[in-house]
Amino acid sequence: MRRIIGGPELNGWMAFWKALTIFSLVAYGILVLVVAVGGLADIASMFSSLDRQHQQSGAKPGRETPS
Amino acid sequence: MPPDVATTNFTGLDWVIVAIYIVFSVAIGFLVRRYVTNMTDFVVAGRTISKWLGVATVIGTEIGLVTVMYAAEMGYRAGFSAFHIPVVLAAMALLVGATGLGIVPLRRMGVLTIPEFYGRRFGPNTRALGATILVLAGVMNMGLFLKAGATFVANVTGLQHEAHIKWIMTVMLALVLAYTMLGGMLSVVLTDYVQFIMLSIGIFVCTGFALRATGWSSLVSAVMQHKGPGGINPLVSESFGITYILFMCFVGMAGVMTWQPNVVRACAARDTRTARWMFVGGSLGFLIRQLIPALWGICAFAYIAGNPAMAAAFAQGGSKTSMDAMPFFMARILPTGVLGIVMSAMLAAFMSTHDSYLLAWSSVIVQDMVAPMFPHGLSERARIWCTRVGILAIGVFLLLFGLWYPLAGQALWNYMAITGAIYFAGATVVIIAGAYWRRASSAGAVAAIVAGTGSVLALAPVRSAVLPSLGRLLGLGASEIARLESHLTEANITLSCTVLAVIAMVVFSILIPDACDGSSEGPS
Repeated sequence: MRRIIGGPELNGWMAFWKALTIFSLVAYGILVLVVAVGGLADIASMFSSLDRQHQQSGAKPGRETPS
Repeated sequence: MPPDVATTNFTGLDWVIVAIYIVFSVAIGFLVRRYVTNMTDFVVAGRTISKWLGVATVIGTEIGLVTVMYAAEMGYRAGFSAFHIPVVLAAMALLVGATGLGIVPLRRMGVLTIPEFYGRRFGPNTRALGATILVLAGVMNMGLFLKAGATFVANVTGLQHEAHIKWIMTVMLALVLAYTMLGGMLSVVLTDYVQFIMLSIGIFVCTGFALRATGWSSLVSAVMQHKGPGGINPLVSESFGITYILFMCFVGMAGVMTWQPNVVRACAARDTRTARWMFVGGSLGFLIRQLIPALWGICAFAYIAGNPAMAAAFAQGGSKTSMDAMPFFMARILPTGVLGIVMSAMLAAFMSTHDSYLLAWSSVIVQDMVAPMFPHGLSERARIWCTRVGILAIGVFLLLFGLWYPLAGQALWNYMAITGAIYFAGATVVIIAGAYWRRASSAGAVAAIVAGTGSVLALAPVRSAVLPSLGRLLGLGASEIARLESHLTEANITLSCTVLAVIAMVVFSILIPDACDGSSEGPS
């Protein structure tokens, strides 16, 4: 790589870009796993909360509040 | 068109995969309609969204097909130097999160939109003006989402007829409009979750195949050979340089602090500490969403540069533009079947960004522009219907604007940054002055907002129409006009408008102070 680029300054930039690319891919991979699993549980709790809210307010699902 | 340039691996099997995914995704959006009973359900999903689902919807919104397209185009045009953009944006998000600049006072005030802050700090006129500029800039910012999507579909599927592509994009937009209008935020959140999963699969598949087709060292040598040191070091790049990096610093800071889709998250946070943490943690998202697609753009550049027939098609005056490069590359390196999955992922990105933005801008129209006109307020049902009409109106505008607006050689990312700056060049000054300077007045705020809109001059078609006329008006010759155009870059115009907004705020606040009637809320 040193021969292709030529110059320690550009080598420094390339090393930085490469490290950043690897970091981004690894970090995003971890994030996707955590969010995919946690998101499923959140969806279930969101619907149970909405059902609870509607039961308390007496609103019928599928009907918009008229007032 | 030579065979090398016309071929794609997209087949009937890929169309079937795309159709199944779209039907599945849109059906979810329609099915949750029965849970919507009031405006709170419609706009904020009954405030029942927990953190992981929140993160999925944030990422689903922030990584749109347009994001992938503009970042890949920058990578194709500028090489590794383009990586500085996501780095700067992430650093600015980190800075805003760490210091709480702007977002802490907004959260303390308990506002939900920036115009609401204007209204409470500077009065109803400033709120109406601020909301109008915000919506205009926001909708213009969305204006090329469809064009970017159509470019992607055309290159991946190999469809040659422009009419076919326009119809596909129109149907896609109609589907998004339909489920967003009916199910509101509930539909948006659920479809965003599914779209986040598909999008993430697509990101890893594309990156793996792109690097396998080219190789890291080939990227480095192709960039070095064709772009020189400027393709690696942004400080010496012809496309960038120090002024452009400063412009990106401003876009990053102002975008995080004042852009409605970001602000609403900070304002909905449990407390100021959570609001700050959202931006510190979210800075990773700002890095990833542009860096990975920019890498695909560099891979596309190395691939195309290595094939003379393709390189000729992408040369100046050829049949292809820099925006076509990434999807063109993907259509050739991804195998049949995988291409269908990636196409579904990108259409997922298209839909998840559109639905959230449509809801964000139409909510501002209703809450900050329409509702304040009714002294006795609007009913829940009227607000929901106004929001639906707003969503439809924005959708129709996007369809028309996306079809005729000429980019005139301007990079898609620069178009996005400039349309954003039309609003936030003024908004940043108004928010900082309003939050931290007791003497900031409504006259100063109006003057700053108006001065910031001057950034519209940085758009390529406006610049090419206005600058020559301006030069002739000043009695300049052709060479002097050309020199003027070369000095007045996108970065220079936008940064100048921001400085102008600062001056306008200070001068008008001193000359025309507000009457101390206690009607406005001063800095805390």
